[in-house]
Amino acid sequence: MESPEVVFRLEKFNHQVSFMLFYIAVLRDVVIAKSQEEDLSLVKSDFNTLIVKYQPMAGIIVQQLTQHRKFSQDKHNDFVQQLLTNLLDKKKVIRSSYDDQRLFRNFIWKIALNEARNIIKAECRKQRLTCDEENLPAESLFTRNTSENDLIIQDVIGKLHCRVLSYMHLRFKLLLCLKALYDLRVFPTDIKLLFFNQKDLKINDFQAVSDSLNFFYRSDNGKLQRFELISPFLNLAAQTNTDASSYWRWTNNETIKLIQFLNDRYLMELNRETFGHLLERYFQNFQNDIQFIDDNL
Amino acid sequence: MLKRKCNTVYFNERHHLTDEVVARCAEAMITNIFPDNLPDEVITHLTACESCNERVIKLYEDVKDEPEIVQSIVLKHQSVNKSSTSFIKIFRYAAAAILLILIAGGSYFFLRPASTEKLFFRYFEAYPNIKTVKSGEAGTMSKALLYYEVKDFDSAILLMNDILLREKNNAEIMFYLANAYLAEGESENAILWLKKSAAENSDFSDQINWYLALAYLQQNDTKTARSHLEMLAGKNNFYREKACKLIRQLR
Repeated sequence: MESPEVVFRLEKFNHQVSFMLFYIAVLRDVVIAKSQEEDLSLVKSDFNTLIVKYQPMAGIIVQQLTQHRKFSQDKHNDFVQQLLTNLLDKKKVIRSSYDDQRLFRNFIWKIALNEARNIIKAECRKQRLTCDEENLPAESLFTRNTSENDLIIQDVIGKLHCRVLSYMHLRFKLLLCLKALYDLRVFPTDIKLLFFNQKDLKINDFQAVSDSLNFFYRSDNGKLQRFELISPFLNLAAQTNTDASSYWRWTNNETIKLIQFLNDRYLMELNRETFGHLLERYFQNFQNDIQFIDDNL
Repeated sequence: MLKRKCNTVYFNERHHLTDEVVARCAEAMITNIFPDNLPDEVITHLTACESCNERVIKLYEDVKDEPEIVQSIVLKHQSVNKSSTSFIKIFRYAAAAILLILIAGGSYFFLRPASTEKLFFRYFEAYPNIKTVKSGEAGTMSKALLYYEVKDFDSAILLMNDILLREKNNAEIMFYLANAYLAEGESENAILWLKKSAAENSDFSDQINWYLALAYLQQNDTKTARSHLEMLAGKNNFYREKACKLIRQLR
């Protein structure tokens, strides 16, 4: 892509990362910015073209919402067409409610998602199918043990893992706090990894602490006690002096962010309870990875 | 406002992460190696700013299944590690050369008989923990042995003394306690507990003789140390070879 903007940004390369990755990062951002510029002009001047531009997005949303249901390809195409028609009908609403300081693609994604859900729900009612979209789909994901549900859970766990990875070294703190919040089993490695970059630190009694943490498993006031047990380690790792209740609040905030992330970006309808079920599955999948990291650090 | 650290710009004019920092974060997610030269404010921003977080995650998702890109990133990391390793190698060769010169020049000092203190450190190694803790004994005992294993001898000594208040005849704990004292440089206490342990149980007699010899060595009492070593050298046991060698060095 030949663009002064791209060249200007590429010139800032400081050789601290793979150039290929840097190049892709720049291109992605420039493409999104260009697309936003185009959207801003189209939303005012040519709404039909704008909706046609987002036709592939409509296809992705419908495909994701119907991927584990028995709908024919024709039905799938009908849903996409219906979705595009509905979006065109909402022209005035979209124009009036859109804040041009935000990315249009994110805005239209949310609207299209709600519309698609309504269309599929209506079709389910028409066909008198049990439609998971109607009754807390996330709840049924964990209560009904089917191979389809397993596939969806694996997919969501993958997305959650991406998000957790983006916490970089703070992810060990996050994972330990999440375990404390959701009364999940704590392993010595979970605590040890808080100090992955402080190898000469003289702390060895991780087993005793993890045993104590697990002792408070689902007891009254257990959560605060669990946070009180881990907070000295969290403080030592971060060289801070934060109290247990603050860590509890921080974990609550991060939990809300994680739930919002999965709900907004990956079409889930998780709440705090179902997120707990998801975390259990996440740790079943990734505890070995955590151990592996510990062994290799 | 641009925030700078070590000549690196982490934030752009809009207070978001720069392209390179976004790429570095995605790279860290791919390689699972955390960039230790990224300041905490970057990580804090990354977890708080939805826009930057989305950029990093999307970039990671775009490239993580592209084997060519992933491979190039991994190769780059390996080559960086290699170059740092080769630098270390050169440094080591230079250090070895200097050391050789020093050895040649000052061989006299090296040929002198070794001091008892040096000999102690050369030969002393705390006896490995081979005690199996039964589930019923878990608690202080397992904690004490854990501290012992991880060489936190101060804590181990406290807990072992506590155990011995309750189990006065536990020869094994006495033996480990003596080792812990020896490691801490408290040879007097070490000798006391080694002798008590020997009085309680003869299973550890060779080991006790060896550590008594080392304890006396630490006290610079070479005569008594040698008498214990000679006991070991005179019969077939695990410490015989070491004992003979040490006797020769004590002459």
